[in-house]
Amino acid sequence: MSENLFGELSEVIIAGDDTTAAAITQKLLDAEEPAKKILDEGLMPGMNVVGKRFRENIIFVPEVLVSARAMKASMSLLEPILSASNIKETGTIVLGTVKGDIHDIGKNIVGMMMKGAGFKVIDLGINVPPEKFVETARKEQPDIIGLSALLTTTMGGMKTVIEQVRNADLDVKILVGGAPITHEFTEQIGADGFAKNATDAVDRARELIDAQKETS
Amino acid sequence: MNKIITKHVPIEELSLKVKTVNKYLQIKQNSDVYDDLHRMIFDLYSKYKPEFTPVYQYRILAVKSVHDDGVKVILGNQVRFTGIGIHRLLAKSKYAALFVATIGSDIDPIITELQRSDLLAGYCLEGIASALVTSLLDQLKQELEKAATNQSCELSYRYAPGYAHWDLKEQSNLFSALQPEQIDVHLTDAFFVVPRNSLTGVYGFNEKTT
Repeated sequence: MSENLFGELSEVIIAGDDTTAAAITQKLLDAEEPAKKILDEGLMPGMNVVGKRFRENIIFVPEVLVSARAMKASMSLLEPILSASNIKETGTIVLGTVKGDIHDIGKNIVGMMMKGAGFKVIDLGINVPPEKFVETARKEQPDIIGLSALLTTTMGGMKTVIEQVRNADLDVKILVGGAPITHEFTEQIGADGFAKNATDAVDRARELIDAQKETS
Repeated sequence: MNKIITKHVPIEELSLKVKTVNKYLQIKQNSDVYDDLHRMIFDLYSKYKPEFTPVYQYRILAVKSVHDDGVKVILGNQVRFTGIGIHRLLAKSKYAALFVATIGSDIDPIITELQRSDLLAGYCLEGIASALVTSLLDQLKQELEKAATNQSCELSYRYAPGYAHWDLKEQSNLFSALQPEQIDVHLTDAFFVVPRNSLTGVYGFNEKTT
């Protein structure tokens, strides 16, 4: 019975039904299914389909957010168990909108998609000074720092963060994104990756972590 | 002419247009979640309506000089703009109307907080605020159209710093010509307009062609 429920859970995540998602998650927990298995075989396959449909322009941001809300309803039941059992996340990412920039919806969507993909997300918010990124990276030892900027007048702030992170000799990859960001700009400022939207950010983050594992 | 006009608009006078909300939020009519989203939008709007405090400010200035260099424009006695785009806009204008319109600063922290606790609701409220400031701009445009007609002119298209061929930094010149701080609208060091759901810009008054 449980095996069918994993598939059903994926389906309700795709449909964005948060009430049913929480109910199925609880049923699976009652049937003593491990929280990690519920995440890996119920929630993540559902969110992967959502991500794929978003990339292919079949669905748009609102549908992604509706699915994410269903995911969050399930995760609220799973998170206490996952935390207590010290299960390792996909990776850790520190997110923030660079100094001078006050826009955050794009960054928030990236954070939500990252959580859906099993990342631990530390969100520093908006208008974040470079020193704060360095300080947090030193303390939390993330795999990735994700920088967001919306306008050409603030995207230059990304370069300052990268310089300070490199000067601090921190072993962390830097992913950048936002409306004005291009591949050329990414290379110019020495970032490790560029994401054109939230699902792309998850893919690039996974790639950076896989590449890191291969070299270590 | 030349005076700074400020007008507070009761929120009840603005219409929240479904089409505009759908455009800002990327909601497609064939979406499986269309009805659910619109129920949420309606509930959010009902709940947070009192937090919106729409206001606009404008000033109409004579176009004194449009330089041959193709970039410099002088309005009234002291307002100077530089840019190919603004030069093109006002090249044949008798007057220029400079404006700032905002939905108010009270809603910004609510949107930010909501996006932390419920991203979908925060996203929808942001879309509502964007649609309302567009609706406010429609009202301002109607008022400016009347002013233009009184001068035997018609209104040009809207143009603003940050659009193609007009540097965002020119926001500071536009702000200097008005008194946006009186309506709690400010410019950050990076030339962002705060509150977020605010619009600035310029319309030209062009003589009617017969």
